Amino acid sequence: MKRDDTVVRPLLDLRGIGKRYPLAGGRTLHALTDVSLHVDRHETLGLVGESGCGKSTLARIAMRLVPASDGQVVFDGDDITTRPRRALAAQRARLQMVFQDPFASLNPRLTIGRALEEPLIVQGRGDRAERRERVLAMLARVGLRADVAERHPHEFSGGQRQRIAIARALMLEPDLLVCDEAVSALDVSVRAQVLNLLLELRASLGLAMLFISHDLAVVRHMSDRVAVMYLGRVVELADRDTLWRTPLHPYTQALMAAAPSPGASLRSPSTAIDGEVPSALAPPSGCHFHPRCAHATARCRSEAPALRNITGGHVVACHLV
Amino acid sequence: MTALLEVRGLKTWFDTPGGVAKAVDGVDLIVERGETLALVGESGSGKSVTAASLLRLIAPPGRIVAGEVLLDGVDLLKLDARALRAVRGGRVGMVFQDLSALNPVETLGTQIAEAVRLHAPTATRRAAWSRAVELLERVRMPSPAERARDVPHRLSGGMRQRALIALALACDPELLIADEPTTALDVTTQAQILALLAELQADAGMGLLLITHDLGVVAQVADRAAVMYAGRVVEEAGVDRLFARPQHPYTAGLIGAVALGQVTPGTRLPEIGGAVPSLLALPAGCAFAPRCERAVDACRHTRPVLQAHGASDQRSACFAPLSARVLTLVEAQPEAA
Repeated sequence: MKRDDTVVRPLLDLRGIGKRYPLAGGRTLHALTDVSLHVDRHETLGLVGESGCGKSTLARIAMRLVPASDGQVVFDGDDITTRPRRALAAQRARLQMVFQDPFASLNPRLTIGRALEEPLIVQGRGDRAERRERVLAMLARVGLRADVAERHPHEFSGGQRQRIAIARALMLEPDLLVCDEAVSALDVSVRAQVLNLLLELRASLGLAMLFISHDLAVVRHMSDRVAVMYLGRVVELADRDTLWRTPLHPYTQALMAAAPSPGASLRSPSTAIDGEVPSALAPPSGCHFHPRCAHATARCRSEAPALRNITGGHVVACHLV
Repeated sequence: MTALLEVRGLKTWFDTPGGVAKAVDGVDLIVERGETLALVGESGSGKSVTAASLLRLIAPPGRIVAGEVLLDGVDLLKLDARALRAVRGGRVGMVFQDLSALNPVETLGTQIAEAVRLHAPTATRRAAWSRAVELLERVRMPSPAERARDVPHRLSGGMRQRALIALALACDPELLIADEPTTALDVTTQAQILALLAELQADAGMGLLLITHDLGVVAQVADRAAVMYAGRVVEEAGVDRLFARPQHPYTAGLIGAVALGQVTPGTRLPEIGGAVPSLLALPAGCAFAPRCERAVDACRHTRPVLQAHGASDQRSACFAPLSARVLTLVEAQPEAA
């Protein structure tokens, strides 16, 4: 895909990202292979796939929490791939993340007020009184009472903690919020509350999002465009409605068929595809999906398919499409 | 004919420093032969404690306070330890979410053969081993004879779950209790395991009690479902009916909250306000009343009993049950809010 960078500069541009982990015995684990994705301003890109597909590694690379082995991380036109940590403060403020486990991502010793104030202190924003004021305003914004500020993480339920984690991520008024399985640990009734909160904040703050989940239905609800990943590669990318109307990659089709849904045909176990996601240590040759694909040919077994543009923005990596 | 499993007035409480947590507080259930009943609820609803109570797998500070668990009319809560051991893994098999339930240092074949011999002591080692391989084949384990010689860590998550199901089937149970059997698995693997469970259940005519938090799973495999909230069953019905015409506002809320596919992407989802109450401080009346938009006075001081509100086999514990128009009502709520 060729974009005119001078006209529309994406907020986050991941170019040809690869991630290799060297292992004992001279082996290499390929966590990500040549992944190129971008997130535009005010846009939500969904990233969906099963365990080991590399979606969380990609998020961590985008956040500069782990270094990429190949490729570039470009934030708002600024290549930050190898920028030293201490020089990243400006980007860090604009790029924030919400993790799956709110129990692990909040310091148990800090009061909620202090945890929310921390990013402001680090970035040297405001005096003490101004910071407190912004903490209280943010708590109200995510639907929590002011007295929450004096309490500690253990006093809250999973849903409330996730609200707190979202509040903290928004303290610096970021442009892009990376949500990595942000609602996966929550009960369904609470999940709807948190998704509604994210929708509301996204609209009022004009946030862009990289929204990562294994749950197809959640990704569909939250995203403008969706990338499907399998064993470290993007296998399909399209705008949401196109992807659900005409999923082209056999893996995307299998994922959609396998997802349990109360609205789907009752009492008919879905047509399951065979096998499981193979180990990233020993990925199949050619197209990684070929051992589970009903349509695989000799070419699929030997040659990895490249991503090809099918119709405007609908991109798929499959020899048979 | 007596039901395969009938649970009456089951109460399992936990003594905690903060008081008595009534995790299960008066649960009634029936599982017929050849039927799949889903016990569905969110965390803390008491569904797993209910499952564990059936075979008395409750350790202090938990205790079963009251109730009957009738397997074919025999109360398991009154059996002596020896008779109970014969039922566990015998007439009643169990599959748990935790894939580490397998012994890490023994081969699958050894573990399954041991279970076979436990309940059929006359079987030779050789016969028990070939039965183990047969069971692995029945759960569609790829290359069952070879896998029988593998230790668990060599297997993928899906294969381990298949092995656990084979283990539970070792004694041809009449009732299989499966507690979140697919929660730890990837979506595509989950679909395979659910299809397998449904098939085994139909072939063997077993009763299946499936404990799950996932209404999608319920829709796919269950005949009937019982919805739990704060230690009690709030609604019970055939699955089609439950999804089409839920009576309890909590059931309707749950269905609304997962009906992502039926809501325009990016728009506000139906949600249940508030949070699950603490089991240490349950409201006097209906535990759902503080979150319920339909609550009337009675809901706040009297606990509703599970009962039929019409001619169907649907029962709900609610003073203000929803009518057939419920789904439209639930989806209309967020616009009004």
